[in-house]
Amino acid sequence: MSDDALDRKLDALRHEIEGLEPPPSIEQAITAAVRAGSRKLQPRRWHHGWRERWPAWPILLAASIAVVAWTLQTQRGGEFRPMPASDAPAIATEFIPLVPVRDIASDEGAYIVATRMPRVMLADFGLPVNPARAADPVASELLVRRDGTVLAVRFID
Amino acid sequence: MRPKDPADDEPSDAILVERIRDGSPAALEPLYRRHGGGIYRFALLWSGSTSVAADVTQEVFMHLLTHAADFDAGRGRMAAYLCGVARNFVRRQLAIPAHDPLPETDDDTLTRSLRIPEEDEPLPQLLRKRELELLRTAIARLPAPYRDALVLVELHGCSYVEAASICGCEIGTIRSRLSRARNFLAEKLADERDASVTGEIR
Repeated sequence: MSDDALDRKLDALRHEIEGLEPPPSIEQAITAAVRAGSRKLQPRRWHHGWRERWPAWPILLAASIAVVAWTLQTQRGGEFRPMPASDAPAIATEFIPLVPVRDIASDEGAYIVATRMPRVMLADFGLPVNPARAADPVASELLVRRDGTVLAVRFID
Repeated sequence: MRPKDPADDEPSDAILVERIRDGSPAALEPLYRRHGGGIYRFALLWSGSTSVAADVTQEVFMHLLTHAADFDAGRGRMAAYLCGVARNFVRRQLAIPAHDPLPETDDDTLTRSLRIPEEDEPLPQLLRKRELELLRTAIARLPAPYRDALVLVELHGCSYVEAASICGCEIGTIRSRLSRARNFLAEKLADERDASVTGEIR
């Protein structure tokens, strides 16, 4: 086959795929992940003025511990627990609430979006990150309200 | 005076990345709308699989969410940077090492390895769609280094410099790989055409 003929075929292929777009589910998953991550990705600039703010540290620390302890006690989220054997060999967390639990309980129109998150986000939820797999994304499911608000997240590993 | 284009008001890629870096992940959404299609098509051409392409596209933008600092606008276009990330993810999905060696085979062996299994069709069809399918399948079966050069330069519009930067090799290497990729494809497609004309069963 001549160069010209190959060029024509490659042109045709370029033309054929020009209009191809990824499935809409990807944009939905990205939007959901952005909303889930918006609280996690705030700039970490605390160190710039820590000397001025240091008296607030003990209070902040105590409050954080209390919130985490309460969450673990009431939701049992945050620790990997085996799923039923019939479902999958994967290990999953419980759904970890990202909004007040009463908002989730009162919501009837939520749906689940499967996605993948950067593994380092596990650390944001206090979950262990295996350094050897830090570069691999972690499968996760987002509980999303119809208006796009992310209500809860769980990780499947 | 040229009428004002709404696109003029849209922030550049570099500004959007800066916003992500500064804690505004919502800036990912316009970046996705701008580059998602291109990355999907790149991954589709590279892998030959729509499901791999969809997975890779999602992973690329999730990666950008937490690795925005890795992008340096002074070193190249966002599209090329994302192609590089997508290339790594698609290779991982297909279990191809990031720097796999060139195949140690002669051209005949390689050409034979590109042979596409004939489907159960009553007669070979010389329709355009079929030809494009053959071409796409043949590209997806090229050895990874040749596929890199062909998909990046010929089909995705990257410059030789960008392709060399993405693949971590010299510009001359990209040129020679592209040339070989084209030769293999030309041979492969000619073989397919001959087989179709003669009705040869493979």
